[in-house]
Amino acid sequence: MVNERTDEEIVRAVANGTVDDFGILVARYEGRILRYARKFLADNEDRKDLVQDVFLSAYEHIRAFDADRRFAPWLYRIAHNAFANELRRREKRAVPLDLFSADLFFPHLIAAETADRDVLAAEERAALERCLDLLDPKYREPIILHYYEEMDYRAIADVLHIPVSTVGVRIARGRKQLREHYQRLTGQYA
Amino acid sequence: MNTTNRESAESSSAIVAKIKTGQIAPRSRWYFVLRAILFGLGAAILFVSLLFFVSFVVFVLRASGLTGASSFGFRGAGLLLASLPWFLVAVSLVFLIVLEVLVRRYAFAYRRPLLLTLGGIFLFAIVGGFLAEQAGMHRAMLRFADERHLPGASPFYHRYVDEHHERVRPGTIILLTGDGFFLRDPRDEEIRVIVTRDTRITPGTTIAEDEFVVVFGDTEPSSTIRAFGIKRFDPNKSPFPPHRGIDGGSGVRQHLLMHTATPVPR
Repeated sequence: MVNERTDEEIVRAVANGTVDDFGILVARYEGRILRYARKFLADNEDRKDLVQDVFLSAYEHIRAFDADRRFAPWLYRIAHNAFANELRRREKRAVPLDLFSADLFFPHLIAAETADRDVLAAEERAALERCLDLLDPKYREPIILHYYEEMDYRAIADVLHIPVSTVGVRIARGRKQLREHYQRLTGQYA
Repeated sequence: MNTTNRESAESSSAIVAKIKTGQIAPRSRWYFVLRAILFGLGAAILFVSLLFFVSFVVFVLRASGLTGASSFGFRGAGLLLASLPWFLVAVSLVFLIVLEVLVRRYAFAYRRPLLLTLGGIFLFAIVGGFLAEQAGMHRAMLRFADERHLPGASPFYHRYVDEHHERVRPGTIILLTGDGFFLRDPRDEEIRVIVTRDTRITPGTTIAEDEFVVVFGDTEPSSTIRAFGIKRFDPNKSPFPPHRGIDGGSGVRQHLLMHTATPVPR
């Protein structure tokens, strides 16, 4: 039987003590979070454990969730923090990925997201599949969230805690880099 | 697909099992309420501290007469920049940055570019700092600190307020001379001020005995300053008691007469 309750209704129930309902949320999002982990972290043996930790952390902080907001960006934010920490641990980097990155500083006049701009050309799709892990995590993550997790710019801004305009800039730059990587790759084998 | 569904069901069961066996428990709502209160309090303390330091910088600049330097073009601006209490400015900047890092947890901040949020906090701090200083907050605090001999507070205030700027001298005109006047500064030091054709005197400034002025200029030997700018000084902005001129024909006037290059008309 399909559970037709919204995520937010389920969260409210879990926060009030209906523990079993949390399984519904896990079932709804586990595949997506796993895919997010696969794309963001590339090779990682411990993806499943990391994803499980994400859900356990979400449960631990369930009473901090504001039910007037959307659950998905909140959960992805927890996942982002977990994956970013894992990346930092792997790269032995102490500083957060982009504490005060230059593109966070200024307002950007990039065009708002539209359906036309969002359509990826065939070559771009191929580039996405082959070259995603070649991208800087700063650009990789918004592209994953937008094209794989189908999030809009505002939701991505909530996951990554960056300005909405910066999301657009990073996606545009990420796409450009993908095209360059792909051309370099296919040029070698042409 | 069936394998994936089964794996997912196993995974969610495993997670729920961990929850039910108490391996993981949700944090109490009060934990998050208290955390939010702590963050809010921290941000408020930081902002008030920022306001304090900004208003204190304004107070120090006004007390020394340095704010008047901006009336005298690049020379005055250069003097103002060179005389700023840079340590206090640096402390204020640190508070500004830490406050920005704190507020970026919240959607109203992180959804907007850094320039806007930093600029917003900076603007609030500047406006608030000016208003706090205008209200006489620091004059009152200095008086209070001195009267109650508060350890730390009184020395802190005097460290900046008593700072001597050779090229900026507020004070009272005590005697006119042929080429300028004598000025008594808040430290009771008497300075000879030379006024030349190049000296700019701002509108509303009167060169007469008992007038309060700020003199900007280059120092010369024997407590002399060659003024490039003179501006009326509001003694109410000074943390020191107002000075009054000498009643005519005193020994001090004689002493000054003996040491000026040109005769002083009576």
